[in-house]
Amino acid sequence: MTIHGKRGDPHMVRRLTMRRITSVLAVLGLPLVGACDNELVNPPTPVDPLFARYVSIGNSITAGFQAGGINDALQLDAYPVLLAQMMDTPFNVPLLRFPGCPAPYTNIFTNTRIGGTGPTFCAARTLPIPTFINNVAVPGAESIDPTNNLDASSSANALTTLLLGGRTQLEAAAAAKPTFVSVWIGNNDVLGSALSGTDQGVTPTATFAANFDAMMTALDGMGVQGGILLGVVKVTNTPNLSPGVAYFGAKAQGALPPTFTVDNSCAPAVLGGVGESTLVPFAYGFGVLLAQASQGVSVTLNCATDPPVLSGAEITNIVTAIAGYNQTVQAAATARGWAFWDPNVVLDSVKAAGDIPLFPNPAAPTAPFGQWFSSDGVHPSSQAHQVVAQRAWDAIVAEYGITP
Amino acid sequence: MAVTAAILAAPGTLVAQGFQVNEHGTCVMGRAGVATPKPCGDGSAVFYNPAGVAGMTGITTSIGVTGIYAYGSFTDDYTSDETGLENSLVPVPHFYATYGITPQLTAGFGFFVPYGLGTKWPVTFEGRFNGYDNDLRSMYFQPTLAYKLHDLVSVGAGFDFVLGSVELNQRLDFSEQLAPPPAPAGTTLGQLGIPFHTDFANVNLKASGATGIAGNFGLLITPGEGVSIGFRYLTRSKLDYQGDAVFDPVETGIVLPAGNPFGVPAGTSLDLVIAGLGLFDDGALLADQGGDASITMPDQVSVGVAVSPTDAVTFLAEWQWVHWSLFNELELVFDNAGTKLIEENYQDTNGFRMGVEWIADPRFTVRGGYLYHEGAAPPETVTPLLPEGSRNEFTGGLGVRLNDRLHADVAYQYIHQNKRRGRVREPDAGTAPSVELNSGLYKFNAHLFGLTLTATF
Repeated sequence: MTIHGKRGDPHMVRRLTMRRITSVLAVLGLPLVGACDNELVNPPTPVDPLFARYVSIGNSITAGFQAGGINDALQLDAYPVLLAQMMDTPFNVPLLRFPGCPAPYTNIFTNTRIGGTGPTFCAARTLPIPTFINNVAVPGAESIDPTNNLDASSSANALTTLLLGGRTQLEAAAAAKPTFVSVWIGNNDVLGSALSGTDQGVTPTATFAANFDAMMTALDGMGVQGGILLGVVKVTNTPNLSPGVAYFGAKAQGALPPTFTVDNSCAPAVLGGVGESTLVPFAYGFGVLLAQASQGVSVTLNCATDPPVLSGAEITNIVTAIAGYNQTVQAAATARGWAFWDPNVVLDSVKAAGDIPLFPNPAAPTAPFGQWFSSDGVHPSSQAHQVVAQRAWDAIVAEYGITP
Repeated sequence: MAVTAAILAAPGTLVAQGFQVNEHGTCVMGRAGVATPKPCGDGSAVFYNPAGVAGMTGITTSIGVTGIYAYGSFTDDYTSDETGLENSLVPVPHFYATYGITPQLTAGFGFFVPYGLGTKWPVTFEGRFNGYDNDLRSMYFQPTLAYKLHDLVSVGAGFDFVLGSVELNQRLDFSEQLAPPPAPAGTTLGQLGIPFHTDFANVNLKASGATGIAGNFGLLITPGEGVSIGFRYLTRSKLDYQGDAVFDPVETGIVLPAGNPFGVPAGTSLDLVIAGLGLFDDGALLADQGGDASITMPDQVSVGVAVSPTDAVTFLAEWQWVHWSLFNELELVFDNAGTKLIEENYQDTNGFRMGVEWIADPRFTVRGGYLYHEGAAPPETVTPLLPEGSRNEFTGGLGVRLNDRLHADVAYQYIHQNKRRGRVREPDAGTAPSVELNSGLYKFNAHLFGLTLTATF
């Protein structure tokens, strides 16, 4: 558009100049149109707000321990990581560098670990150190440990500091301000005794209840909005503990060396033995007796008198304790309206289906205890972790009416 | 053990691009900082365009202050915790004097603080390891000469003597320190389990008396009645700081359980372990010590135009470019703790300003304006030290002629910084800063209040 003015009119000159300047100002103003590009907070966007900040509490299973060791790969296979993926929520794990701390077995029969490392080898954490830790579980933890790792009865170990820096699990959890937690604690209150072939040292049910209640009270005070409690595993179902009769059968089939004698006490009841009602820990049957027999030393497994063998009465006491624990756990879940999942239902069915080997298979050193257990015969395999995660998720969905 | 990322960093500020301050005259402040094409008559042209003092007759002196009240916060993505700044009202003074030696030649002097200000966060803020109480001031003392070459053209130049000071307070993170043997070389204590952001020391870095020089050059052209065009260039100034670093232990509160990597009995305080390392002993790594750093105050270029369609009304517009890419890294050298290089990667910035001035009557002049600044910090270096970003600012002002010799100006400016994502942690040693470390949102706004009194003789 052309603007015409009277030639020589100074006021017109100033008006024209003004229009030009107005145009200049308009051009200068263009960047302002794009000047309001505010950025945003980027909070977690889980499938449900309940899962905004998820923290898992527990022991070696929850931490991702498998095959007698733990490293970053196994930690990322653990069920809490899978659960977090289902929740679609951020989840930081205190990852341990390869080969681990300690490194997992490559062959439990030869006591060989990844990289040829020993049982005391410990690699440090990976970098970067996460700002918050979501999986605060520590291998070896018993029911007291989530709230107290300094007590004489605590099971604090090298991983307690390596994973949490001296904090208790709940102290580390509090830093992440959890909205949702999973708790799977108590297995070690019986496991150590069972693997040693005794019921001595099992945490009394009243002590377990006190420990568990203290932990739950602390979680309540943390403002946790929901959670899932997992029942204590019936550790007598783990394939690390083989029925005495399994050794009796192995001997009969010639699977044991001539120097390894299996006493008739390990025979089935119909043959006058107690082999069906006793359990032989791997560390005793293989770690001690078979190891000696393989070197030509004559050994005998006696299921009635050998102290490392779990007797029927000891098994009963352990199972009774576990049932007592689970009453506490389930009651705590019910009282809070939290989800509860009893892994023993699945474990019993798997065992009934014959999917838990009664006797380790040396011919399959990478899976001597079957597909559901790692090669230490105690800790779930990665495949089992997937099942645990799915079942736990199903329980959560059912309890909270979540629409995945 | 080596002191790593935590000891470092540059002072932070919070009012214009980077750590620039542009409010050095209340008259100019009221019109959004536009003065290059048509400086105010209070002598502030010494800073805004030295050519603008040419032709000023007699003696003009002005003194004033800009009060800056900045407020803002950081909201953590994950926890949703919002931590607010605790800045108090910061006064930024200015002083100018001009003397018309001849109708063409004018001498002037100015004192102003074009780079500075600070950030103060609570000591509990998660970004305390970058710095929680920081202050930087670069004071410019500028004698100036301006000459009117022609009725249409004036030039001016000033020599700046720059005096700088800086203070930084921050916490040191034990998890970032290197573990003592037998841990493998290069292993940090965080890799042995020490929780991220475990306070174990406080460091106060303070340096004053740094000096530098700069030049401020201006050109003013009046091509026609009611139209003026201005150009101004302020050179960079490198300041070398030599100061003191005072380290004080901070209790971690951590009690070690059994099996800890330090080999001490369960129940032993981590603080006892740290004390046993002798880190704070005379001559040790964290003993009180000297430290050196250099910071370059960047060049500024301004070009603007002013148009007065009537004798009473003036419209002004200006573009400003600041050479912030000079601030690409910061090297801190400590007597005992070694050298730390911090990447800042700043980008040159553009600012666009528009103002209007209306002489309502012989006593009162009303001013208003709007300006937009780009942020200097790239997305990966938005930290508690300098959580800056692009800004929209609005100004208003009033000039009052008190009598034949005295004039007063008051002004208000509101700064709204676009919300900016940033970080509260340093990258791991040997790695570059990344937007992947950004974990929350910085908000920043400020109210500025200006008052300048001008006397003419």
